Amino acid sequence: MSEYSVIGKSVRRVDVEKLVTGRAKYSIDAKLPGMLCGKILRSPHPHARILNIDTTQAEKLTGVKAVVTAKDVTGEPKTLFSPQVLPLATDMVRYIGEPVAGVAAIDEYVATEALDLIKVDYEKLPAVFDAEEAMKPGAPKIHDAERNIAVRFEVNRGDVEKGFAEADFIAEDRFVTPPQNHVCMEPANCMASFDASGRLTVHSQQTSIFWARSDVARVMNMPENMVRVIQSPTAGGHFGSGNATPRRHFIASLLARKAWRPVKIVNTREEEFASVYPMMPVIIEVKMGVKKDGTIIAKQTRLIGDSGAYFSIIAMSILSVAMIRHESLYRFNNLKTEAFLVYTNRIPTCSLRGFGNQAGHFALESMMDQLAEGIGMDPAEIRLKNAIQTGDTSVHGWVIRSSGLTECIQKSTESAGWKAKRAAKQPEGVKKRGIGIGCAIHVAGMKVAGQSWGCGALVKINDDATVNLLTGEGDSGQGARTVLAQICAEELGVPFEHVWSSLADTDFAPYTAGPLSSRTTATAGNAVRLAAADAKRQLIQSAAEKLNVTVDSLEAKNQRIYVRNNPEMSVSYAEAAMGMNYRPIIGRGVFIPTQSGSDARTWYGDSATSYSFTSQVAEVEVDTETGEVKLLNYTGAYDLGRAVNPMAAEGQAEGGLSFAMGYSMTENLEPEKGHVVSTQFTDYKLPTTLDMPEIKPILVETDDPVCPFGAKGVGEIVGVPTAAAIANAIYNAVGVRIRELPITAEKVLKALKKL
Amino acid sequence: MAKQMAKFIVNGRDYEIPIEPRMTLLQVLRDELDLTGTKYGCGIGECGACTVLIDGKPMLSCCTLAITVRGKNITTIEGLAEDGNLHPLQQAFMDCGAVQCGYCTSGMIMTAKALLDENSNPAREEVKEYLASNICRCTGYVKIVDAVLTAAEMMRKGSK
Repeated sequence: MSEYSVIGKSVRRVDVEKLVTGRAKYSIDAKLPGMLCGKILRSPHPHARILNIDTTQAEKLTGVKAVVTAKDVTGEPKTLFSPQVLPLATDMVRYIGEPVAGVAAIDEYVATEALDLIKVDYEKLPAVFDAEEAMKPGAPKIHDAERNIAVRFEVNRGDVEKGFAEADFIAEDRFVTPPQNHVCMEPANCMASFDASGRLTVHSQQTSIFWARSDVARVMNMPENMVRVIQSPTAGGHFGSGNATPRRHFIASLLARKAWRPVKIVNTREEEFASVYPMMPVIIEVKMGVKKDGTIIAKQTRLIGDSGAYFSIIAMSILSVAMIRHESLYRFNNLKTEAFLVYTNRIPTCSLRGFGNQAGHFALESMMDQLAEGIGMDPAEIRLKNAIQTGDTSVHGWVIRSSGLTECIQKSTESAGWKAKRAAKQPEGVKKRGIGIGCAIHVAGMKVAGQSWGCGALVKINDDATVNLLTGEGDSGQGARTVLAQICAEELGVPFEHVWSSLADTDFAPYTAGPLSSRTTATAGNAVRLAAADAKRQLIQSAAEKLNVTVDSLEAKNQRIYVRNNPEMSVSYAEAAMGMNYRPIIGRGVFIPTQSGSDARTWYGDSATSYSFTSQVAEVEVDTETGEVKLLNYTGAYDLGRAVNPMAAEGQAEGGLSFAMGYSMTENLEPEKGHVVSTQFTDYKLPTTLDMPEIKPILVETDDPVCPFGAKGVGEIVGVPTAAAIANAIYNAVGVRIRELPITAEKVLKALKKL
Repeated sequence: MAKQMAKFIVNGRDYEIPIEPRMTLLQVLRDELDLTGTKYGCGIGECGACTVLIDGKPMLSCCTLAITVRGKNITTIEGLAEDGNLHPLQQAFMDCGAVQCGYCTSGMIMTAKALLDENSNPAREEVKEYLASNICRCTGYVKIVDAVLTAAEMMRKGSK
């Protein structure tokens, strides 16, 4: 029997009825009277100097109400995370799709026509599209950086030379991971409007609303309290696209100010594929040594991350995650790592679900199988041998407060029938079967040394004891509002249905970074729990005054507060909460992770509120004539601390699988000389119902000591080791290893020497 | 482009509005009739988010010129509930956890309705086939298929 009334229950999502009735207004649906259609003129060249921009013809077109260029930026043209990225290009463009001008007109047809009337004189410059090419001497220089290297990292632990000397088997390999597009089903859009007080409201899918407010205020040269950023009540997907402030927010605001009318910019699906900042492509060269008893003894790694045309702190963080995060999965000790963040004339890269961790794990988990084979050990065994445990401190200083990794490996392999399937004979005929495993570690709420990475929450108890929960954590479908309402309800002791989880609005919500590094459940959840506890304390105080007893003599249960030794003496929550008679009940919670945080120079430090784990087993069928790989069964075990809402957690596992299947097998932007070729769903293929295997999610609860009700969250880790599990399964089936994603039929056939 | 008056029957109601011949049904529903439940996902008929029923058949409204469906019975997601009672598909989608961001949901439900109106007891594989051209980025489809089968059972038992 569960000790909780709301935690662990698959309650129906908050506010879901509006989604099935078509009543929900996404930001793409939002309208204001007098609203204009905004469109962006984008650079057709990957690298060019802008000599002149002539907007006069566009401005004269009937129906055009405003045209803006960089000249219209009155504030500081910088964002928090991307000091190089300007709201609109000034004298240089560095990637195809870079915004150069904006137009606002009475409808889409006029706006599109106006774009054609803007005359830009470009002087084309040589461009480079591959990170390794960009590092070679003589490559076109994109910024003032030698060999186009924006940043270089180096991390050393232990003695890697000694480790390799002691190894009984060494394997070396090279892995290439692609960019990936978020493909939110709702194309990116943004509406900007000024009200009669001169306040600017920006309404979009943006999830890091406070960063957006800072950035917009800075660019528009306005005080932050005159800017309001609202995340749409439901956003049609996020997957990391709403963290860094996209330029359409500035362009729409500039247009709205110039036209003095609301302006909405909506990406077409082609623009989505061609210009939304994708996941960073990473090249990983790795050498690992293992002893014959299965102990990993050395790892040497070189990573090259393609930042695209501009540097951003987010891109730098993604590279650091690809470099470091997987190394706390096992009990590593001797490591040597070098990583380069490199400029190319491609779209700048940015956050996407997994945040680079999927690249690091693809390499590591592919190597683990190679090491296992080298010493004749079962791939699950070698992982059990090295698995990090509760109480360990990893080689990078991560304090593992709860590790369900061993349990995940055991449960996933048992459920998948691992032993029998690994031992099974191959079927006759051209179709071969294989089973492979991939494990992963992820953070639950990152912490960087010297920064707080905290957030706040407010809990207001109304006269009828219903609750308004105010946080800046919006919902893009992952269920944030629901999980936070469950935590609030449990802590307060009220029914789940009595909690209304507010919308993410900078005017009303306390500060938060928004959803990244899987911080919502772990970090925001803690802030909510603290706020709810504070509200409950105030209720009890209020009851004590009303009953004329001491606080210590009171208990709260079933929404009544009663004297422990005389239960007849009681008040209801509603009676205790009445604002007019007593003080208004406003619970306040601020949670700041207490860990040391990862040091930006040494990369050492306890880097998150907690760490989640997963072990996933893929079963594939490979057609040796066509090279096609079909995923038959998939078993995933997820250590999420505690499943606040089991149905929602399963939904994340299932959705995370399809997201990762795309990354692993079907999604390919096909950048060609800086141009994205796949700009439609027929080319950039997402898995459909027919591609999905039988999936079995197993939720493993390790009850983390610092997370709210032990819950660590699960939204990102779900897709981190999938590519490796599939690649390992293919190797088991047909003896070939694919090292470059996505795994396509052509690559399999080439590897089988049939192409 | 000059506008002309056109009559539409949407969710059982008559509308007479000025439209341009180049407008798609999706544009007319969303921009002229403020029925924003039908979504723009790609605009070129590849994702299914814009699916509506026209005389009971699932059609991609982004690829349908509005002027060609004058006088036909158009059903959108807003027209599914009757007298405030949710359709079993709407209920099942909520109960089975089949909705995450919800953006594909309208298209999924309308497509599924066409299936269940035609086949009241589909097998799991048949549901997957029928929904294969509706893209979802969030759910991995598992609970969507569960919801359609659940709704089918509710409808067979006579739920309204």
